[in-house]
Amino acid sequence: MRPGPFQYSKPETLEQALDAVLNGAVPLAGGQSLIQAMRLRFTEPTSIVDLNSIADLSDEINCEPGVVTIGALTTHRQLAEHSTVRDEFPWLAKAATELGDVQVRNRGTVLGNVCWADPRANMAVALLASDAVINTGSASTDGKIEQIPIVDFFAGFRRTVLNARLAISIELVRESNTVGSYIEFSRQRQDLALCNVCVVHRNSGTAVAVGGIDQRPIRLSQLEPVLRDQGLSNNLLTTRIKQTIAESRLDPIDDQYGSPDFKQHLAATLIERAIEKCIDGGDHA
Amino acid sequence: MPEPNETNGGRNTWPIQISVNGIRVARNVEPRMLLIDFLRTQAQLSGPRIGCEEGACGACTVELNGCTIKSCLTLAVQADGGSVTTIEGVAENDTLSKVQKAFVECHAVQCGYCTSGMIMSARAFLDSVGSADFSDDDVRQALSGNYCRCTGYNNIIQAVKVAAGKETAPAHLDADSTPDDSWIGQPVVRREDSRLVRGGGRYTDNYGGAEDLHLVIVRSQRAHAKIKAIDTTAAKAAPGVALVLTGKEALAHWQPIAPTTDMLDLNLPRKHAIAHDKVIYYGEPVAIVVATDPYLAEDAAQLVVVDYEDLPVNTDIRTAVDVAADNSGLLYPQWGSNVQFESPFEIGDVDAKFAAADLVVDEEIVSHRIGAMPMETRMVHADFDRADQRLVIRASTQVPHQMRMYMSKVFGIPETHIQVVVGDVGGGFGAKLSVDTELIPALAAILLGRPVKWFESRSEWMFAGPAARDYKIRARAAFDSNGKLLACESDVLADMGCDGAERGAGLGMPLNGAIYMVGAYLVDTYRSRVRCVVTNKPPYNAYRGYGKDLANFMIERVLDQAADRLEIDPVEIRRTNLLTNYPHHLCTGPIIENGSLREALDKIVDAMDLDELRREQANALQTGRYIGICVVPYIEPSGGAFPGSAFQNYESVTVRVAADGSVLVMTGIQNIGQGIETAYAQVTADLLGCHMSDVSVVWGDTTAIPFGSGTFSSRGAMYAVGAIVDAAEKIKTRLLLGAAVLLECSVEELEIKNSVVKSNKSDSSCTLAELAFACYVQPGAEIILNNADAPLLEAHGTYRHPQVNWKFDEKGRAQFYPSHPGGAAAAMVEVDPETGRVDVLKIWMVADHGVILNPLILSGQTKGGVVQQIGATIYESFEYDTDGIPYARTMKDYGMPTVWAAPPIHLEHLVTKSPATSVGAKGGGEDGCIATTTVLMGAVEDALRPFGVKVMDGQLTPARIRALVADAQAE
Repeated sequence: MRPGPFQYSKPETLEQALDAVLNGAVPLAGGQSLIQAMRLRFTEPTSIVDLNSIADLSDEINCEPGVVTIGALTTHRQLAEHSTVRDEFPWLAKAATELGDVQVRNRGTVLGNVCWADPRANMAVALLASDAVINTGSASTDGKIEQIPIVDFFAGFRRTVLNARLAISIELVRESNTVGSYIEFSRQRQDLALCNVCVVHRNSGTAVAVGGIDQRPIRLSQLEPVLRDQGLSNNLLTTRIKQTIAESRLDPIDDQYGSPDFKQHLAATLIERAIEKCIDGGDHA
Repeated sequence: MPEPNETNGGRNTWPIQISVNGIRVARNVEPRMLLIDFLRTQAQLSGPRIGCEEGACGACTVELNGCTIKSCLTLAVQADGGSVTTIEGVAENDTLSKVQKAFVECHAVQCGYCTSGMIMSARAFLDSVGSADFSDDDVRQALSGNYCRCTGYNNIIQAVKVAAGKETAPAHLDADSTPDDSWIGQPVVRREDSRLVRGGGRYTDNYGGAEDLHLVIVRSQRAHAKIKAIDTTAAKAAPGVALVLTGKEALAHWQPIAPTTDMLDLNLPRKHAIAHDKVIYYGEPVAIVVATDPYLAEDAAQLVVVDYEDLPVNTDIRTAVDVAADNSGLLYPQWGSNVQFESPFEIGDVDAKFAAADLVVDEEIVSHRIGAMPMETRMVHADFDRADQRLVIRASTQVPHQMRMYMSKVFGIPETHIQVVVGDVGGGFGAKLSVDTELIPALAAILLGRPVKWFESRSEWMFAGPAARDYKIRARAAFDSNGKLLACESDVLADMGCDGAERGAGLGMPLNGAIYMVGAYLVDTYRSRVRCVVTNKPPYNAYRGYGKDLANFMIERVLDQAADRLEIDPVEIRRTNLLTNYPHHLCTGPIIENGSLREALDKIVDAMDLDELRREQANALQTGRYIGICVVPYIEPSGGAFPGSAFQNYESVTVRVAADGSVLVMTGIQNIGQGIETAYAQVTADLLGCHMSDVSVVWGDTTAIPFGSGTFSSRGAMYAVGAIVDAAEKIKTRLLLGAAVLLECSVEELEIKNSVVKSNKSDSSCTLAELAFACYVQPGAEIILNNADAPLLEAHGTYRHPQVNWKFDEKGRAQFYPSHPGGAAAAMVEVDPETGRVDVLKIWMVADHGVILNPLILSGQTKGGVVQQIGATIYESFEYDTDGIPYARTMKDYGMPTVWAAPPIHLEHLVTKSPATSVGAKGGGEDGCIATTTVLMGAVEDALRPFGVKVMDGQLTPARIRALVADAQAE
């Protein structure tokens, strides 16, 4: 199958792109999820705005003291190969490396993966545990940058809170003594994750993100204080993880790969393994 | 900001230019045009191919601005101003690149459909690593975005290492070399690969042009419903539309689908290829739209509105089998039940043996629904010449002559006026043995008098393509205390989907399973019952293994249980019961002509170093790792021939030596990637004494080749080769007679070798080319072939297997499979009891196919079959919700095995020459798909022995394995 008809624009300025988005155009960066859905005619946008010629949107990863900014057009491959990311955020590099395949990583963008908001999207889960911030712009606010913490970003199955705003970059806080681990469970390696987790442990606290057990990638916020207060090496960890998941109000995904109970069991197992990995020094790229 | 052009059709287009392999291609294109379509239709390339629509298969892989991408997940406008390299741009000055050469030498190509994309990815990987060292997993990481359905990936990984200079290619021979002795048995690299690694190939989608119309099938959104009305008004008014037709409107123009099998008292649906009254599965065709391009055809198809009245949906075979005669849940009310065919069999006093047994094993076994999933879907290019009343069909099928026959039956056009042309086929595995949906584009071409193309989309295949397996079984066996098998019983419920005989050729699979459950063992008391039941799912077609997989796991799973309960070593219980003397007459009818099952079992145990593996297993358990091992024998009945079908017990060829000494072999066996261009040339070269490079093999065109049943049941090495022997002997006699005249000597003193005819008494000699020219022209046949039985160097040869027997005895027994290759298979797996993941660590096989024509090709097919069945067992599944709607919409959803799924495979051969063929080959190619599921089930059970679980469901997904463990822990 092939995509339905749409109006196409390829603006050169961010302002034009924001106008297009305000008028309902769907942004196209790498298109590795969007074009697939358009081919299957699951989604039929009437208008597409191609972001690839906009001078203000970058594929660069910008490293400044205290903050790393991932551009709107940064690909998974660029992220996975970036030396600062590999040194300071190796779990992100791992999540990017395990995403899709070479061809998809060459073309798909990190921000696009987050905005597609699949509940099992590697980058969504890994960035959710990293307390990333999404910088957005909108023609309705004259392009003023509005920051959305990623914990507030996901609205439902493949839905975000963006509405008529355009996501233009991702910011990550650089903090020393941070370790993290991303683990995904898929049938075959690099396949669609049935469940994926990311644990990031900082001086300020521990973040636990899970994909695959709810319509959205979620944080296990009830578990995080336990890890902060009682440390990662915790005798009751297995029980606490299971308990937290059991007490979360989840809206499971219906597919052929297993019951909600199975996926929740998987999530608990992977979280435990990711925490063990963090105790062990975390992922190394 | 750049602006689009407006065209008069109201479609906005963009001017773009892309440098394709160094040539600038500038066009105005619709923004929705995919780069793959631009490359194929605008840049006129054939290497990048469409295998899916979700960017999973990678057959469309090209390089854009130095990076590999999937051209089916990229819009052409996104590549504007860029530079694209495709497979066609890889060879320099026509010289194959290192990686292309390595793919040929390592036999990393079978059907070739994935090869273009695979080579692009391999090339990018080799460029990126440069001279650095790399591991097999690095290669897997680089190739995981490219599916291959044929090779099982091992040879591809090897080819990458060979291209990098890390390994040398396996021993091989080129077709233009000269072997010391015989071509048969030599690892000759395939001649077809030279075009396939360059992006060439004669796949159906490579044909057609701007004048083609494109057909899209509107498919049912219900699994079981009456069609109340179809509104096509909006679709007819849509741009570019040439024809919209509903099933009801089509009725006047054709007959129901011609069944692939019509025998005994089996029930046939007698349905048309487009539903007109009710639909019986989700995805069944209900209408068609034909338009000037595929995009417009899809747009219009969305505008067809169908009004349904729902009927009860049957997705569960146990419910479907009991649906009463008056119930609206019957798929075909005229049958009075949902049973398409029932086959009972009994021999010996089964009940007495069970009553007297020391041990009775009684198990419920399940095997889930999977499918062949070749890389190339089905497709047809149909053209009808109204003036001449001739129908010309290009199609992707395994059976060109059957297709011609069935087109003729359905449309009432004489077979003389139908030409079916099949080039390269991008994989078949049994799924392209029927003619059902292929009728639809033919109908459109007949009605329109214009060429019509239908290229089945992957989602159509997912919804409506042929499926296989899907059994619920009760298997019982009686043993004495020494593990001796006393009697067996099987009761098989087989889910045909909506039909296993008319739209597909799958109905024989469960029947085979029942016949061959006792196949490898000494047991003469047996009862079986097979019920083929219809449900609201897509049709059931043949798939590699064809029920011998079922036979294998029924008996072997039961034997493992017996071994466990009697505390006998699992290999020993096989040794106790394996048949000893050949020929062996099975109690179900067939005669196993000869073989080496016991030797194969001994050899595989040695090759594995089983005792050492058992020690490793025990050590691993100490560290919390669950490793399991399983070894079983198997038989691979091949060359099947079935009454009431066009799957017949003969094949014919025509062999022609031309005036220049070149040799043409014309065969009805269809090339689907199994290497017939090479293997048949090897055989012919040996028989005629010519150079292999002088022999060409032609297939697929019903006007050019002699009648043949086609490609199925691993028959080519017996049937086509047997026919070549027959034809070549006739021609060789004439050549020798002619040479005796030409060289003025006696026939007895002549021999032909390496295309030279020589006297062993004098220095006289001539080349085959000189002799052939003398026969044809100078002085001509009246002089040179005056003594011969015929004055030409062309002969028709036939082969009929002597071991087929269709005379049913009083017990209803016959023999459909004349030949029985066999061997032993083993697996070692590791299971994670927490997540349920099964990792296959290694597969072993010892196989006996009789005389091997070409070890490269045979091994390649076996390994490919192994990985297919690993996929079918651990990853793949067609599943339906209670409304009969399929879950899997993409190959990725379905679980196609990637390069990560391919473990190391240790493969050895034994050779027991077939008594029935002069070359001695028995056929092969399916064995990887016979015992792999069995050994995986057994190995997982073995790994989880500490938990005490039984593995009786052949679907080893994480969720199911985890459930087994969790249930065991809860007890």
